[in-house]
Amino acid sequence: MAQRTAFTPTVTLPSRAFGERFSSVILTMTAVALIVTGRVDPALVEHVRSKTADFVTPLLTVIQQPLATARDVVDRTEGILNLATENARLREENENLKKWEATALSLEAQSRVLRGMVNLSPSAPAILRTEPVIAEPGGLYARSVLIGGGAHDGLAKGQAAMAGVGLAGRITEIGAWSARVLLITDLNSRIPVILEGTRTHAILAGDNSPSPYLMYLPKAAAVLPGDRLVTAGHDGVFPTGLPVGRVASIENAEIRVEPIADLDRLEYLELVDSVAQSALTPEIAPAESRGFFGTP
Amino acid sequence: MVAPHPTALHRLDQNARRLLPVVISLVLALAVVLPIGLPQWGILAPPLLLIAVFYWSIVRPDLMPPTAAFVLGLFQDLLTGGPLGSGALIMVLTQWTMRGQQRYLINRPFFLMWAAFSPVAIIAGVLDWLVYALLNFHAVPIAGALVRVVLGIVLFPVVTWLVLIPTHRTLPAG
Repeated sequence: MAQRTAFTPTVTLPSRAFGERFSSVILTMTAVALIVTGRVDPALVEHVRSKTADFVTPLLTVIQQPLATARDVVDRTEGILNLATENARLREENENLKKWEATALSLEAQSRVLRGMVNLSPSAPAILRTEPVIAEPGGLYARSVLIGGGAHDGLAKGQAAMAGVGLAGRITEIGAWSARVLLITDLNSRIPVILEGTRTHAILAGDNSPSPYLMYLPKAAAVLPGDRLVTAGHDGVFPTGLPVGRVASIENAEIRVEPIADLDRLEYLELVDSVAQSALTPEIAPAESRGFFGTP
Repeated sequence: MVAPHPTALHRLDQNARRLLPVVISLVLALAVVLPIGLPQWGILAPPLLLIAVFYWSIVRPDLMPPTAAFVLGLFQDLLTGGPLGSGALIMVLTQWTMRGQQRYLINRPFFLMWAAFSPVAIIAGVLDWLVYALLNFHAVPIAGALVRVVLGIVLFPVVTWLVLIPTHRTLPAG
């Protein structure tokens, strides 16, 4: 027995080293082949990816609970510390919002009358779900998040994802229980938008920086910093009129946009596939036209 | 040392412990994508998995074989949405380079291992960036990749002392 163990290293080590080197070479080539495959057949990669996401979703969802609690505790402590200033700010904001509410209500009424006059059929009601962000992967090169809802929850590829009042991105990969939302800042994100004031069309393109830029904007278009952008929704799946961002800077014909949604801290996303008419709260909005903000 | 007549339970426990390096690496890969509420955490994505694969390839290459490194890298690619295969490539190459380095890095001052990690992190970061740039025909600024590399190097002793070395102590002898 002792003799055998004494011999073992001299006999097995070279062959084991050879085996390891062999598998390293094979695996390196496989990895390179995979990279190329991903370029040639993105649909296949997407499929495998959504399956993996489905697989880890239960785990991520479970880990989510203590994390949410921890975030809550931090938020609450912060809240208590800033109670006085926060109160003053909210009071001021409330005053402002009341004025806006009055304006919105009168515009809503006016809009309904005008719609009736031109016989415009209202767009389909918003199909809405709110899903937790279970992972914000991406690393340096992809701006995307995983959400804990998928095809089983009625979600579909192409749906818009809102964070609060601003567009965050759209679903690009869908699994049974999870989906990947490509954020508007991603290099591969292209969202048709309209400049709200002038109704000029353009494409909002991400480049992995925090502020996406405008492409294909007509040269003659008048753009000013602060102009609001909303979705154009050309393809029929994507809803129209969702707030996207504001023009932040114009330098050498490069127009940068500040997203309205806080993409750094996404906790929940609202999935919308066709926006309703009203953006008013249920208490004040007519029941038939509840919008995506309208759900309690 | 192993008892003369190990019970089934004992063997099971020993075998389960042999999986620890891979399991711990998996957990670290997951930790990077969790929305823990730190701004930019998901974007910076410190290369925790790289740290783990690097460490285990040196101290217990028998428990971090090339296949395990490959699968872990692939899992990370699938999770992060980055180019599929680039993480796998980096992990396999890291395992390949480091598994023969025990005699230079084990039972030596810790900073030697830390110093050895730096070039690995830099090469991995540049490789990652290069694959992405080639696949997208678009040279994204490399600054982000470098920030990530620095973050990896800074976090190396933290992850090693808090997670990897304590795990290493519980492992059965090879």
